[in-house]
This record gives sequence, structure tokens and C-alpha cells, in this order.
Amino acid sequence: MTPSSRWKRLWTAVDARLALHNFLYEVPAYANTLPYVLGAITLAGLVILVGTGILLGQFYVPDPGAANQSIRAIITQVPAGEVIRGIHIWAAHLTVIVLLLHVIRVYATGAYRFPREANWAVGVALLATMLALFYTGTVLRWDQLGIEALEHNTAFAALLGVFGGWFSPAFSSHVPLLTRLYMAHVSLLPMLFFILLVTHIYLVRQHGISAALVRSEPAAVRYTFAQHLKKAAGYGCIMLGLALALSVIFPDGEGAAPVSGIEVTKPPWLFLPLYGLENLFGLQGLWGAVIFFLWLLAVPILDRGRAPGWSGRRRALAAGAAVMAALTGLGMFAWLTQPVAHFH
Amino acid sequence: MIRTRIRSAAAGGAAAAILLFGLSALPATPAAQLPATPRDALTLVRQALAALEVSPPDVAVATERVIKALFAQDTRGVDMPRVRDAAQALGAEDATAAAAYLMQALHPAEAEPSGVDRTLLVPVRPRFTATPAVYELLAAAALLIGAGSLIARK
Amino acid sequence: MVTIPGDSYNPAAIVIDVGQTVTWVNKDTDPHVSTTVPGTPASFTLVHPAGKSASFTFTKAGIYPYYCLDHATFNPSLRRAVARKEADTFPVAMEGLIVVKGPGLTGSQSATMKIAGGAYAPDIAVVRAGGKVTWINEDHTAHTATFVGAGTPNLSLAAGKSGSATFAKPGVYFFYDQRGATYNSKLGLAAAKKGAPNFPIATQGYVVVL
Repeated sequence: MTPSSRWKRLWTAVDARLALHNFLYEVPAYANTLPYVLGAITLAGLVILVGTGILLGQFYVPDPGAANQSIRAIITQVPAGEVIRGIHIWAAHLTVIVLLLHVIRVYATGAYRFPREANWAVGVALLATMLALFYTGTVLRWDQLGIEALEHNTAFAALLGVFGGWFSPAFSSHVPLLTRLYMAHVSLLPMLFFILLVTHIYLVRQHGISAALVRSEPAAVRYTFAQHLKKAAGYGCIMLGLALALSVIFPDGEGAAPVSGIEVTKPPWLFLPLYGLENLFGLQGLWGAVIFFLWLLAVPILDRGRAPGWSGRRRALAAGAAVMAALTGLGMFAWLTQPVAHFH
Repeated sequence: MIRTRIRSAAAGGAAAAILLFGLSALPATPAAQLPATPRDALTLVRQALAALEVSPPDVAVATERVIKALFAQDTRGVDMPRVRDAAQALGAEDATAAAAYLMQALHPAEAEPSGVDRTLLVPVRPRFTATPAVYELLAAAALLIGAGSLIARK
Repeated sequence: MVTIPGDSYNPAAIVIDVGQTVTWVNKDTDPHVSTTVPGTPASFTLVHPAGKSASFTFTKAGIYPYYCLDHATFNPSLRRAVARKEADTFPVAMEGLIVVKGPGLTGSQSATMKIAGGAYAPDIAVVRAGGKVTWINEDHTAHTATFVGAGTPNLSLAAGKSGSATFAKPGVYFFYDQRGATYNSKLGLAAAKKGAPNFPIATQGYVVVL
């Protein structure tokens, strides 16, 4: 028997049982270019995060009195602990960047238009869940940065007033808020993410990839979804290598045990625009996040046009560019100013 | 036709009113308990130290807290002469010396049960060190990036 | 005794003998914290709650510049107190000087003060009675060494020029640069003019005659 026919027999045996041939549907050539693979690369990043996260969770103590110490133990005593934590942190940054690029691509190509409005909403929910994961992960550090992030949880509860019960420490006064956010980070949010992700992928499969904005001749080579996954896996490897290199060149330490009642840190880059809004408007600035997500959800309603090609995207692109400019401007403003106390 | 429209509008309005009433009946969250500035020297010194441990150190907040600590009535667990030394150092904007004095001002956990674990008061700031293990990791990273580029190319 | 009527010390400079005690009485509604500048023979950090008094006994002779931590900071390179913006007396810093006479504080027969970067260096000269102080202006612009009170020297120093004055009677003599600051007689200190180099630090100094 030749080697190739041996592989063929193995494939047939596995496929008969797992119906893997269903993944070999055809995918147009443009859908295998980097802009259209970003979603799958985000998923690859998520795999890295879950893997390193599970490992870290074996050594982390989610109690305010012991959390900081447990992270120091991970860095100094657990074999490869510093590297695994470094990969987790850097992969988080990289995954969020890839996710934002994916959102920009979907928005720019108008892939939220009919019949994909519901999938866009699912995607917005996924974005919110990913940001919540990044936020809760920041709290879990339990240094000065972490505790000041936690205090924003309480502030958010106060802002929502009657509807803010869940986010307030008073909701479950016997359990430290850190412990509840740990539970969210390792269980509640990943579960929510998984449910939304399955829905998201199911809908993408049902609708098919959105039409290309520029018509091109059919490519000579036929691509299947397997190539799409393979490309994502390749970029995922690159992301893992980058996260590993960054964790070695720029190791992330751990701050002193946190003290409540002062505000001397600024949030990570992702939340700087929100911090800028707080600098300008006080705690009411947090509503900016709500307004941003409401606008995102409204995008398929605001832009119902069916004009084909890039020329039909002009107005939407202008609006998107304006929003990005506003966010970048707020972020730069927050980055350049001194830390400001928002709660006193 | 209009009557059914009015009826359904009225039903919708009634439902909205009941919903809003029901929601407002939920126990209201107490307004965010803004942490009041503490009055005991121990917490104030810990806050001043935390302000100095971030980069860049926040000398203004630390000075404010140290001054409050100097006026505090409750000075249990704090070595006040060290706090005064820290205040002088902060006046000259010497954050490093001030942080050292403040740490000395906090009685160590080894000496008394109510003391603080001094190791937790210092940040862990690992730096890139050129050891063989580090180079191995960088080589592994390069390998991953290379392999990934190959897989993604075809 | 030194009173704190507001964001200032009154008098701004006093002379005592070694072994004596200085008492500060805070007549202000604000609390204050007095601390010596780095490098004094002995250091103190005293808290002055509103309406209360605090004392310090000087067992070592020497020069003790001090300032209020709440209303000023200290500039280590210029070795001068800098008023905080919130202080009522801005730009005059809440600072004071205590001269403790005794063994260990000896004046020289002559002293030199250079003027560079818009500041006197050093800004406190200690001479014996009858001693001479010379100012050398090493700056690009003209400065003065203007003393306060009738019959006191008022030296005008063009760039590169020098001038001197002799002091017969013991005491503490305050002087300032008329070109860059104005004298505030109530506070006994100079207020830097806007646009002066090192604003809000005023170009001022003391001649201590033992």
C-alpha cells in the first residue's frame, strides 16, 4: 500500500465517524486573505488565552488577602510560571487588537447589512464579552492597577442606580468582589463567550461569507474552509511566538499589594478613552461606553443601504473614521495627563 | 381597525408602566460608597507608599497623605519619626528616600501580629536578563513565528 | 516666638542662641507642617494644628532654613523653597530662617556671592561683624543686591561686574534683586516678578553678621 493511500484510508475512516467532510465546503478566494481571516485568528488567540489561563488558574488564589502573593509565587516559584503569565497577558493584548481589526473590517465592508444584522448584534455582544474578560483579568492582578479597576465596578453599579445591583459589592456582601469577578473571568464570561461564538459561527456558515466589494475573476485554485482554518492556525502560531517573545523581552511584573482609597494609576490602553471621558465628565463619563455600544448595535439600522462596491460605503466609512478619531483622541488625551482622582 | 390599534397601544403602555413600576420597586443600590479619607496613620501611610510605588511615583498624592498621617490621632502600628523623615524627603521630591522611610515606618509582620508583610509592599519588576534560558525561549518564539508563517502562506 | 498668621512665618528670620527653644503659634485656620531643608545641623518636622503651638529646642549652632510642607516644596538644585500654587501668598513661599548662634557657627571676614542663572549662590552668607560681602554677577543680565531699610546698601551690578558691602553691626540682613522681584514688607520676603527666571522662586538672600 502506498503512503498516500494509507492516509486516504485513515481519512475515510475518521470522516465516516466524525463527518469532517462537512468542513470542506468551498470558500471564495478573497475570504482567505488576511482581512477575512481575522475572526478565526481571534479564535486562535482565544485558544492560547484559555490554555494559559487554565494553567494560571491552578496557582491563583482569588481572595483579596492572598491574590497578590499568589501571583508573586507564580512569577518566582512556579516553573515557567513567569513565561506562562507573560504569554497570557501579551496574548490578551494581541487578541484584542486582532479582534478590533476584525470589527473594523466587518464594519468597513458593510458585512452587517441584510441578512447579517442579527449576526452583527451577536458580534457586538462578543466584543462586549471580550472587553469584560480583559477588564476582569486586569482586576485579578490585584495590585494598585487591579484595585482601582475594581473600584470602577462599584462606580458602574452606582451609575446604573436601580439596575446596578449585580455589579455592587452589596449584592453579595459576604463574598469579596474580587472573588465574584474571578468567577466571571474563568466561568461566566467564557461560557457566555462560547454560546455567542457558536451562534456567530453558525450564522456565518448559514449566510456564507459576505460578498466582496470588488469583483474579481474566479481564482484558478479552489479553496475550502480547511484552508481558512489552516491560515488561522498559522497566524495563531505567529501570535503565540510573538506573545512568547514579548513576555521575555518585556516581562510584566507585579505591583505592591493594593490599597483602596487612592487613585494613582491609569488603566491599560484599551480603556484609556473611557478614562479620558472620566477626566472630562467625571463618573458620568462611563455612560460613554454604553453610548458607544448602543451606536454599534444601531449601525445596521443606520446604514440600510444596498449600494454595491466601495463607493456605497463612503458615508459609513466617514462615520466610522470619525468614531475612531474620537476614541484615539480621547485615548491620547488620557495618556498624556496625570492620573486624576475620579471618586473623591 | 383604529380601535384595535388604540387597544394594543394602551396594552403596550400599561405593560411599560407595570415594568417600570416593578423595576423601581427593586431594592435600590446604595450610592457608591466613596471611600472616605481614612483618619488612622497606618492606612494613610500605606496609601502614601502605594502612591510612591507606581511609575512614575505620584509625589503629590503621597505628600497629601503623609501630611494627613502627621496630623492623625490614631498612630498605632506606625513609627512616627520615620513618617516625619518621609515628609521631609517628599518636600524635596525624593520619592525613593520617602518610600524607604515609609516602609521603615510600618512595623514588620515578624515583629508583631498586626504588622504588614513588607515583601508585599515592594513591586516585583523583572527585567530582561540575557541568560541561556531566555535565549532558548526567544529561539522557540522565532521558530513558532517561522512555522506559523509557513503554515499561513500556502 | 514665631507666629503663623496665614501662609507665612512672622518674623521670617530670627536669631537665637544655642540651647534656646523656638515656639511657633499657628494663628491661621489652616494646619501647617514646618520642616527644615535638607543639610541642616539638626532637622525637625513639626505639625502645627490650627490654633495650636509647637516648639523645637536647638542644641546645635548653625543656619536652619525651613518651609511649610503643605504650602511649599523644596527645589534641591537651587536649594530654595518653592510656593505651591494653592498657597495664599503665592508666589512668596512659606519659608523662614532660624540662625542659632554658638560654637560651630563661625563667620568669616569676607564672603563671596555669585549671581548665576538668576539666583544668588550661595544665598546665605555668614560673616563676622565688620566683615565684607562681595557679589559677582556672572549672569548675562544686570542684577541688584538691594537691602531693606534706611541707610542699607543697594548695589547695582551690571553683567560681569561685582560690588561689595561691609557690615559693622551684628544681625540678619535680608536682600533681594530689585530687577526680578518686589519686596513684601508684611511678609519680610521678596515676591518674584512674572517672567523672572526661576519663577516663582524669588531672587533673595540673607547676610548673617555674627
